[in-house]
Amino acid sequence: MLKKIKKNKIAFISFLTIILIILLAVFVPVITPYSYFEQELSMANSPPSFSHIFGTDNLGRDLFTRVLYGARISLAIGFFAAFLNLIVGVLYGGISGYFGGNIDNVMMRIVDIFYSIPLILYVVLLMVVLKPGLVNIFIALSIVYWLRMARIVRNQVMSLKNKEYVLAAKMLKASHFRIITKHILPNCFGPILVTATLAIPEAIFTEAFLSFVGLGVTAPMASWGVLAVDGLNSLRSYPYQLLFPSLFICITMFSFNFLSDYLRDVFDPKMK
Amino acid sequence: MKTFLERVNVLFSYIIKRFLSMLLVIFIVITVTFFLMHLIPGGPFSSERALPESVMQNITERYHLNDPIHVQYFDYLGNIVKGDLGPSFKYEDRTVNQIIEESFFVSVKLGVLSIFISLIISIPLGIISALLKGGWADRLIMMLSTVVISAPNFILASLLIYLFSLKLGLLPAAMFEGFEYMILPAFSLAGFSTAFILRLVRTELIEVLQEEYILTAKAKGLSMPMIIYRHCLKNIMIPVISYLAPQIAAIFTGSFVIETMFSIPGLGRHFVTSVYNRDYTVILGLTIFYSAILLLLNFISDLICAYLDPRIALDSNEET
Amino acid sequence: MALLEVRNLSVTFDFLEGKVQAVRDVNFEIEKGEILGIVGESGCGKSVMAKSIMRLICDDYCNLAGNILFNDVDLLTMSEEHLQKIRGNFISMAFQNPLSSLNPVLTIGLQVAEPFLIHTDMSRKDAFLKAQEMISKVGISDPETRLLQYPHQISGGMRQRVAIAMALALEPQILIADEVTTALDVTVQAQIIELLKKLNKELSSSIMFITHDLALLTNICHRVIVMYAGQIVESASVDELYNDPKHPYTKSLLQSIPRIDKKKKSLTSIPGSVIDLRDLPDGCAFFARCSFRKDVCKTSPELQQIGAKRFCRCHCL
Repeated sequence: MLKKIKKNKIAFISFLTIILIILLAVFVPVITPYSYFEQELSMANSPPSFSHIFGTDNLGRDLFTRVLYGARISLAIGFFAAFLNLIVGVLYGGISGYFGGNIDNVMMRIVDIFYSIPLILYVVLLMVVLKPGLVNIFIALSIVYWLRMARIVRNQVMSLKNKEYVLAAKMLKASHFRIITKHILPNCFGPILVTATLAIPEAIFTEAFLSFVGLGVTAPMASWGVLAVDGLNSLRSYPYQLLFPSLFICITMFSFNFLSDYLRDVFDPKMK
Repeated sequence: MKTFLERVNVLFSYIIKRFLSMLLVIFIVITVTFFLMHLIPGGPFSSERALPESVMQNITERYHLNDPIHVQYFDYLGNIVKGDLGPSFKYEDRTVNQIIEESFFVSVKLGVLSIFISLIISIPLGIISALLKGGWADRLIMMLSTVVISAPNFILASLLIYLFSLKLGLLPAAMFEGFEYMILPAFSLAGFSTAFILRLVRTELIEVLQEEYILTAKAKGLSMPMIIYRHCLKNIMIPVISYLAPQIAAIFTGSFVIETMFSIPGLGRHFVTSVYNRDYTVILGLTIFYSAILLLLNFISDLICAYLDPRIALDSNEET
Repeated sequence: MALLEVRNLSVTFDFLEGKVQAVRDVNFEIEKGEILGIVGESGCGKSVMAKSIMRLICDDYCNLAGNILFNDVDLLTMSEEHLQKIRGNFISMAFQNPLSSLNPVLTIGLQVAEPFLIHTDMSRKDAFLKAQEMISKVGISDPETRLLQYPHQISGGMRQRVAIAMALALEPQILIADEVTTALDVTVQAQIIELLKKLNKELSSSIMFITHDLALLTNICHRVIVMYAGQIVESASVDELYNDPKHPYTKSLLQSIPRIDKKKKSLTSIPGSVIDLRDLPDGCAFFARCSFRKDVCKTSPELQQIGAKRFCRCHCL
């Protein structure tokens, strides 16, 4: 029990951290007097101080403000990816698992094919073709990242649909829709939730990677990834410019990872 | 009862089957990437691009853009079969093949080193962590691995550069002129896989240790190290190997970032450069090359798993 | 002197929700060559007791108290290294589920040869030859091919034979057979029982045969211990127990066996369910389900000697 509470505590702190970051992102305009694009060249590259708690970047923009605005973009990407994961993955996996047979065979072969190739390459490829930008990041992520969810939902549905209570519902001539929504999906809830929570940090990760190869969101907007890459260029002289965005990325990823670990323990200790 | 020969036969037909399906996937990959590049409106090869007439003409000629799309496609396919991934879009005198030849082995060296590092660290630590489950050592190891998993590799790399190169001055931070130049990039590259495999080993071992056959082994009088060695390692290695191929993929994509950061003349850096330059043919060629390599590794890891795990039925007639 | 003497054995699990007394103050012994049956409903602690004899369940939550004397040496205080020399060599164990008690990724040959490899200085080749011999001894045909097969390739009954071959490899003085027949078909059950009886005669190993099936015991055992809620409630020779059960629990167990030789209207079952070991009552553990209960049963009964080798734990004798 003690261990569980302790683990719970970490999960709880993670949850609070995520909420805090979301609140900060929502209320940036109230929290800081600066805007993310306002340049003040005389103040360029000033280290953390009382007026700029995270310091300023090479164009004199307040880093704290930019990091918080970056939170908006990075979190939006994360949550949107998770949402898309959910819709497409659950639909695809659900249909495949529920109907089984040849439909399942074909649908899962397609997933297998996509699964066996390095997906991030295709995100890059799509971004190259589509040109960088926030909307295109959404599109690229959504075309590619529903696969894992589809697989997990499909396996769950496969094993659930032969359970006695589902067979009983079938004997009572319940409609497909009713069986799926009432008897099968609620029982897949755990794995779906865990997968969705994991999709959020993964999308943030991917976005950071895209920023690194110059395919992230375009200036003057800046995600955490873009900020970190900017900071990377001045690592030698102004390490704090990398430190703060990195810290936010890591803390967010950390929180989501712990949260999903916890959820996994709660819902299904055997799931990997 | 199957004789040895029949068994070999089954194995052989399994290999053939898996090999053919791999070829099919590679074919699909080529097709999808090709049409993605050529058909998307406003894409690099579409004719509605606003380029000066002379440039356009030049490009059109070199890439046979006037041919109908299916002719271009079969040309490209035919060239790939011959092992030719085509010329660069940006640099007249370079081909994709040249780029691969120059840089592939640099990346392989780095990749092999970092896989080696991650296995050497992760398997023992994962075993320790599982055996001391709940203790302080386990908690520390798990905490560290979550930190490493949570940090994108360029952040890990910059931390390493900052510490070992800028502050302590122990190791070089850039270029590629000897073994000591590979240490920091290899560790940065290995970080994620190390943490991932460590966690995998830990969960698998915890699960295996609860199996009844471990009790049987203990009842036979085996010591704990013997139990781990004889009754757990093989069982753990199966998931580790089947996850190794995706880990190698992660190291590939990680190498884009790491090679660029450390100015290592590997394939990854060329990929990033070609993305920056919008060198479309190189991007296309390298994507296909990477996919093929990964599929090959997947294939190999499947074969090793099938060899290690007798439960994987190689064909459906196998008695169970 | 008995081969194995269990004295005041108690096994307690310290769970965070509370203590579970799985085995409470158990005393018994096994003579050389004897087949001792241990019977009780699932959850009565018989399996935990069996495992604790070889200290197979010593994790942080588990407390073992008492003495387990094997040839006058206490297994409970012995060092782990010393114990490893006894396990599988002098005392061995076979488990309930033949599917999960064999390692799926190792060949049958290796698993049967393993006792030889660790307890003797036999070469690998000799160990496999001995393994082959053992496999044919437990009645498996075509032992040469079986050696190279994996557990999933053979049937459940055969797997259990392999498990027994493994346990008997070094001709141990005691074999603990924990529900070895439970997961098997009735016909296969009978074969395994015959096998155990045969091996008991040939090797003169003692067998501790654990089951929840009282009917099965009459076929194989010399003496039977009936357990309820972690305690011994009755122990007697098979004939005595079968013809003249003393404890109400034993009586009701016997009544719930279907019989064709006696005319009976319907099969009786024991009312209620097995007691929760986390929440033991002060008096007799069987109180709530007993049809002979009196007021005196609210105090706990002692195990009384009522015959030469007969014990019973009841106020109503």
